[in-house]
Amino acid sequence: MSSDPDPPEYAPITARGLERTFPQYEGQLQHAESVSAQAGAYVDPHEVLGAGLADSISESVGDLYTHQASALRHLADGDDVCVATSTSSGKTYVYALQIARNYLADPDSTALLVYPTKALSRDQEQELNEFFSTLGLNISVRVYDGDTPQNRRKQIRETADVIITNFVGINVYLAHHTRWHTFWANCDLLAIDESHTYTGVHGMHVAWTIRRLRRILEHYDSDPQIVCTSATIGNPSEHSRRLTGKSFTVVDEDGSPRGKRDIAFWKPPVDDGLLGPDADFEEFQQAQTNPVREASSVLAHLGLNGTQTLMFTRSRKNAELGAKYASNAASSHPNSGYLSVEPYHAGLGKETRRGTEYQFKSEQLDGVTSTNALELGIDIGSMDATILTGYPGTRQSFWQQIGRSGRGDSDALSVFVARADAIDQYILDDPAYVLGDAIEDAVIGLENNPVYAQHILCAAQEHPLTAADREWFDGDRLDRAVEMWIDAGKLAGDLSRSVRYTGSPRPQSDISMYTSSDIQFDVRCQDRDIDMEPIDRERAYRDHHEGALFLHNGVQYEVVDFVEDVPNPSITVEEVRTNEYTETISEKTVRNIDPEATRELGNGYQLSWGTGTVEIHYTHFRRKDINSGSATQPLRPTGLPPIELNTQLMWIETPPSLQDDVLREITGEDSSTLTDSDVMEVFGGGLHGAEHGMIKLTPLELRMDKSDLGGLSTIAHPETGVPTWFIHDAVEGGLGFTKRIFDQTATIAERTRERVSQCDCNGTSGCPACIMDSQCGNQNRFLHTDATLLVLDNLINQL
Amino acid sequence: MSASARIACASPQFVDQAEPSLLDDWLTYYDPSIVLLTGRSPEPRAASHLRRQLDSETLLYHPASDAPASGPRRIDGVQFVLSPTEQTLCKLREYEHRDLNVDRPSFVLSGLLELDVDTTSLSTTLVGREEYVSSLQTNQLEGEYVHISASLPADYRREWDGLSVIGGGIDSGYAGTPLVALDCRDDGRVLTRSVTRSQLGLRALDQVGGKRAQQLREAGFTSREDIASTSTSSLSDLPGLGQTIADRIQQSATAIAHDEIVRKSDDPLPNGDPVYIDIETDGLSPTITWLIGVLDGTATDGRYLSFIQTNPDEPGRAIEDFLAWYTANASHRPLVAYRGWKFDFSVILDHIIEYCPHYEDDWNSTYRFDPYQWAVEKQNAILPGRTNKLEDVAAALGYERDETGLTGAAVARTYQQWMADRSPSTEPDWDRFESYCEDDVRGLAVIYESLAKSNRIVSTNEPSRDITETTTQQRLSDW
Ligand SMILES: [Zn+2]
Ligand SMILES: [Zn+2]
Repeated sequence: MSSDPDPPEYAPITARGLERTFPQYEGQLQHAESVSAQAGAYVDPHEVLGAGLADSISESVGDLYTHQASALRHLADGDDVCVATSTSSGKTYVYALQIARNYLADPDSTALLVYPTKALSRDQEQELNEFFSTLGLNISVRVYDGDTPQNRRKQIRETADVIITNFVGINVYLAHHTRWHTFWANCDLLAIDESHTYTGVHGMHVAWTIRRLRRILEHYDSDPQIVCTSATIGNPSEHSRRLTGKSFTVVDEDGSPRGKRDIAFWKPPVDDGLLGPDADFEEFQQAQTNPVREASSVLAHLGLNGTQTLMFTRSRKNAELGAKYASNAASSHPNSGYLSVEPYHAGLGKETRRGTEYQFKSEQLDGVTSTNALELGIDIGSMDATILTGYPGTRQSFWQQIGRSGRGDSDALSVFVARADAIDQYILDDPAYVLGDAIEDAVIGLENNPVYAQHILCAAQEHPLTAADREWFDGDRLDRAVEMWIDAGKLAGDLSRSVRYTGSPRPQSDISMYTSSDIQFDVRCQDRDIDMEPIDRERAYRDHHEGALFLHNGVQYEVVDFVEDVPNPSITVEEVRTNEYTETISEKTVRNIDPEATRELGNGYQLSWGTGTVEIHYTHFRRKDINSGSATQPLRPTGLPPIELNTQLMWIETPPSLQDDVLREITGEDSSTLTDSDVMEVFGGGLHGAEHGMIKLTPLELRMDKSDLGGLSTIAHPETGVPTWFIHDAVEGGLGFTKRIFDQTATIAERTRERVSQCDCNGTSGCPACIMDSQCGNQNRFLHTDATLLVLDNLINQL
Repeated sequence: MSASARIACASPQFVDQAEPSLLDDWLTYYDPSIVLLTGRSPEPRAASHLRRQLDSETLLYHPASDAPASGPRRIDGVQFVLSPTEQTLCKLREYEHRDLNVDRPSFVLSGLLELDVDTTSLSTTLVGREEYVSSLQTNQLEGEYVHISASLPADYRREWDGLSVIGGGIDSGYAGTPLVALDCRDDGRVLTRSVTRSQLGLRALDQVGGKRAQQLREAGFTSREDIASTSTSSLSDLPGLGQTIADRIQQSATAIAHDEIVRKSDDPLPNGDPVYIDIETDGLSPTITWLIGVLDGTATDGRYLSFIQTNPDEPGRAIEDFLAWYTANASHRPLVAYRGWKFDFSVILDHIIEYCPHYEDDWNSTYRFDPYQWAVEKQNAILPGRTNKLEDVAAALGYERDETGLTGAAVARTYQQWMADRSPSTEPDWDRFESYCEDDVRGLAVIYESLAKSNRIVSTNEPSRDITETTTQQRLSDW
């Protein structure tokens, strides 16, 4: 803590100050954390850079942070380096200075920089050009992507020293690699910015694209060094290796300075009076104060006290609602006054956004309510406070949103307003999760065959495949893929001589970098353009059947047409504004389970991971009101047939005796006296709760969305013959997530147990903050919190 | 010349959606002996739709129909066995000697073989193969058989343990897949021809897409001949068809009906005597340019040279030899290739970079010209012919080529086999390939000369090289 005296009550710029002054205070503050300031650690550039370059850096930038210096030292040693430090710790300088060094050694040297978004690319193009010109170096940095005009492309390929692009582009450009031959032949550095964002299906496509790229570079006798810059993730070394196929030196000792700030962990009040012990999902939603409304009241209070505040919301609609709620809250505030607050999101016109940015920067606005559009890069100056409406999904985004507040030496405040969601509630219970060092792993499932197979076709088109390519493409697995494609008529030849591509030209254009199955649905919007990647068949069936409502980039859409039986399946959507969501009911079976790894835990408990077939039939759906949770329409059939998913899954088998133990403990009766439906409600509810809870809390360990997973629990599975619950990857061929859950079952089971035991919901059916899940295909029936705890306790005992 | 019988393949979806005049145009274009209706269900509507369009000579074969034709047939001197079910396959042994000459190959037509590509388990299955093979009892058969299945895509060709399997075009004419025809030759080879839907019927006309074709039909113009013989004013009266577009449509119909070039602009062709080229590769994603045919001079009297590489281990030789000749003898003359910007020029550049990069600058400074791009894409002229393919345009302009029994794809396939296995049995008949290539460059010269003759304005003495032109053209094919 700093030695500053407590600020006066009229300026609630600390967590305690907020507690004391907030007019509707009812015990919302669950935890207050002060993060003390930390001075930067610096190194004289002359220690790591040549004299000339070091002189210019000293003059233009000053000293280097220790992590920058350390990364540059490793690069000088020829290592591939992953820099995993905090946001705005100057990671760009690492590769920029390496480019400068390479250029000074060889003016023909080139570098390829890959960014995750086009917007970031344009931004960095300008910054890097300015940086190099400040250093007096004639290095030209050019963006080359889908927006680059055709008539400039040749010139950029042939003259730029540094090309900035993205992986969607690289996938396509590799088909024409000869046109880039000069660039490839001189390429000394490949920088992958924000490398932690490459996970899941997209991560797999990127990982294989990078291997194809490195293979073509090798064809032109190049083996560039690789720099990955990453947010702080749990496994930077492993992730970089799986992403690129190379081994990395990790630099994660952050030398950048940090300001002092308070973080308030804030729980919107729940009106317990409304909730009986048998309250269902909807009733819980109704009882809790809408977190957006609560956050807006905090915004109004801070704003009226002269604390300029940026509030983050999860959707565009909530950004707009937040601004309205805040104005209303200000007028009913005790020292009521006028609050100037504006919403901000990508759906607003460019001029509106520039105007809001300017007004905020020049302090004409007390507050802005924004989607994560303001999270990355955009300069709106600094502010006193930020409010997070809900956990943004990853620790890195959490800190990014927190980190926006703070000016110079003065105090900064961040308020995390929790939603009624298992992860948000878990964080309230255990703030150490976000404050401490335990962080999510970034997972790339290289084992997914459908994605792998597509890239093998591309690689063959780019250059005939030979036996030497087993090194790039996972050994003997290449032989299997080649044989499959030869039988399918897309490749010809054999690896001992050469395998050539014989399919229709440019297989690269058949790849959608965000999906894994052969069948994808294009998304079309009736009334306007929609910028949405094609959807995998499995997801389309689950979330995008006709009549379904969904959010994309914060805008709500309804699916009005679903066409599958054509060569290019599509869904057509229409923008809607409604206070409803869709609940889809499904029947699921798991069969043909084939374990690849098994851990005997003793006493009849067993963990397994492997492959299997998940058959899901999304049979009916209905719409419900977001606020009341009551159905606004009767159940309607989806009209869809069942679909099969051949994917990876992990499962937990328990001894049959667990059923009697759990029933005896909870009902106090011998199980022989209980009916089948009692067994389903109690023991079935325990397995079901354990399955839901583990799925819901896995994002604490892995960078992912819980919709990347699905589950099934059963008191006797036909293939295992015992009580079992399954967690499966929700994508054809798998994502690699279930393998990690298998490896980290103990941690995930313990976190789940902790959350369920600490949840303050009444009764035993759980609530959205513990084991209820809006994606449940069984309408959250049956769930039993006490039985869940017993099931988990027994499992944890064996782990 | 060996006997050949043509099968035109059509998916039921194509037949269902096509208006009678389009079916008629398709059948006229291919003039098939057999029409193969694909699809796995009886499709009575599509079948009767087709039957109405077919003359009595043409066999309609739909393996999935309720009462399909079956048994041996001799069509245009080629032996076929129609095998809608495995039962017919069992009878092949009976047919041998009685109905089938075992010294000649036979084509077995069925819908019994289908592909299942399972990328999750990394395996491809030819569904139905086991039953198929056990019904055939191959070890007791004397003749040579080629198996065509209507349940496989048209570009599918593969040997499955001695079973030679060819796709019968399951999606033919549906959703962007071209309409294919299979020329079954009595030497056992099958040549695939293709035409897209938009090259048929009214849509073959300049400025006419699906909507306008419908509009024209509704106004009573059902064929290109109708339009060629009408006045432009009767077209321009139609809503949304101004004078300019009506002119273009009418001229295009005239070009096709009268086999003549219609010039649309005064843009001159390049100055200087052209050097016509055509290349042969190992496929549509080529790794080698092994033959460059060059015509130096006019269509009738020009000297034909070919730069050929029979050894696949020296993939750059043909290009290098050609460039040595060109830079020494013709470097000031325009290089002309039909659809050059789409294929030949770009493949040559790729292979120069790959195999003889020292020629890259020489190549970049040549003046390259693509009559297809100039006429069709830049709309300087309307070409005659049913399609804009070189052989169709040249034929419409009166060029008669030798029958070599080859297609570009067949040439590439033969070279691929030679690359994979260099034995006397796979060695290509090089002379035949050279004359196939010569036919193409002479046809190209015919087109170019006709374009030159059709000039509305005689070209003046402008500088012979127009670099800006070259860069714009490259822009069009840039990625
Ligand atoms: Zn709860
Ligand atoms: Zn459930």
